[in-house]
Amino acid sequence: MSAKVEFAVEMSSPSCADKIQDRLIQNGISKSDIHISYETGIVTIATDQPSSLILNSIEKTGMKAVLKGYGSTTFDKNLGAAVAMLGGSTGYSKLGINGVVRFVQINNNECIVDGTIDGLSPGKHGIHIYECGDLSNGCDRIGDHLNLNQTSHGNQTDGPNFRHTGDLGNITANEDGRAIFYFKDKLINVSHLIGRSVGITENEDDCGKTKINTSDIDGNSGKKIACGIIARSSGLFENNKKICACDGVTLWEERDVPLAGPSRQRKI
Amino acid sequence: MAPKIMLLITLSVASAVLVSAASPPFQERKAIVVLKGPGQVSGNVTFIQANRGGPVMITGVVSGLTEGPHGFHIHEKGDVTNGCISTGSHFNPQGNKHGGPNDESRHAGDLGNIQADNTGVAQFSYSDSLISLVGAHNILGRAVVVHADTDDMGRGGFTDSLTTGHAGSRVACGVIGILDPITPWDKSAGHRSPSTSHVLLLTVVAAIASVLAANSI
Repeated sequence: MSAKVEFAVEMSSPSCADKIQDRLIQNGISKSDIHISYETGIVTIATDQPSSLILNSIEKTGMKAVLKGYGSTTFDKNLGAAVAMLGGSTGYSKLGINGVVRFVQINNNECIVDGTIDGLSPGKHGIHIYECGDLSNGCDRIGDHLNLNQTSHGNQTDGPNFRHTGDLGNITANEDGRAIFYFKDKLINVSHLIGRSVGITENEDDCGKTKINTSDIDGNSGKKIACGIIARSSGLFENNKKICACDGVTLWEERDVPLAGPSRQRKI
Repeated sequence: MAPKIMLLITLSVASAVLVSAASPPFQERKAIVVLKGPGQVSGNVTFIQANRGGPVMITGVVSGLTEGPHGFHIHEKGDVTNGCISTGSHFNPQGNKHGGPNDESRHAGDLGNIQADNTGVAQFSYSDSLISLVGAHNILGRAVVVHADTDDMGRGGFTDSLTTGHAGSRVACGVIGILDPITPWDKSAGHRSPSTSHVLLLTVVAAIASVLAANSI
């Protein structure tokens, strides 16, 4: 296991811990990789599974859960954690597409890319890091593929001289339009991604292999249909905030209220 | 003895020149936040830093506000997956209490108030010396929040004056990203190490200097 995920879980009694553990074991996580504290309401899991799947399995117990921190199993220090929301107030997307992509640096050479995106057309879509985080015109001002080594377009699995830094290949949406992906990348590092964007394209990326049209630039992957700024997020045990100081909205209420606006107003 | 000292001085100057040549000059950095609210509030704010460690020019237009001052802050994280909670507290790398932008003790993210006119538009341009687009006070990838009420800059005497400035609920948010078109700095990884030849030269210079120093004793 290379990553550790921290969840806050709304546990009403000590027996909740057993329920959560049983559910996680059913989902293939071994007991030794699970740590549950009823006192703090924190569940940490060492895993190589997408965080959305783990969150879902915790919530199948009927308890609310929120991802609080993401880090490495081998380093206590936060080596870099970031998140991009596609759509919403920190991203842009065509109607119906929304998702979250997380980036976690687990050691100096490997970054986990962990995402779930809904509302896509079934099949393959290119995924890239773009050099800007400018959403002033939807996804049209986020620049080119991040290309720190001045190379041609390629695939995520290609060597550093045969791909752009931001070339992450394709993700595949199922019949319901959902793409869940989880992989490690040796070229990107969270410290180079902050303030830039991640984008999803309309078409499959040919990863520079067809050599026709714009294959060596963008893999003929077409227009960007969703993008989001890569923002700093919390490492493990870094954010113990449970209530929003300005309006009293709690950890458990946040998901049911908008990010800003009159419906949050319950000033303390 | 004198020529040796001269040579030592020359070598020290030469090594200093080499070190400065190895680190590239600072290039202007530019960032933008696009603010959106669930209602009518929207706007763009740019952040421009011309020199390393120098002030950051903040220029923006935000519309759809109620007339008057509105608290304007940068939070530690830019993660809005769980709303306000996941953005953490005000960006506060120095561990200070909440204050105003001109106070000595303030959060780096305390940018004071923006003032909306009677049409609900706030237009502003000012510089801040505590935030940066490089280093420990780098604001890239963090969230910007515009509040419904006035930030009392810690002086209001309310329970939340010293933490959030009693600025009320939030009317718009956004994450600070790199502005398009990109400046040359942002095309690279950002931290270049001195080239091998420079390191080699520096080693040679240091070796000669230490030999000379040993001889002169």
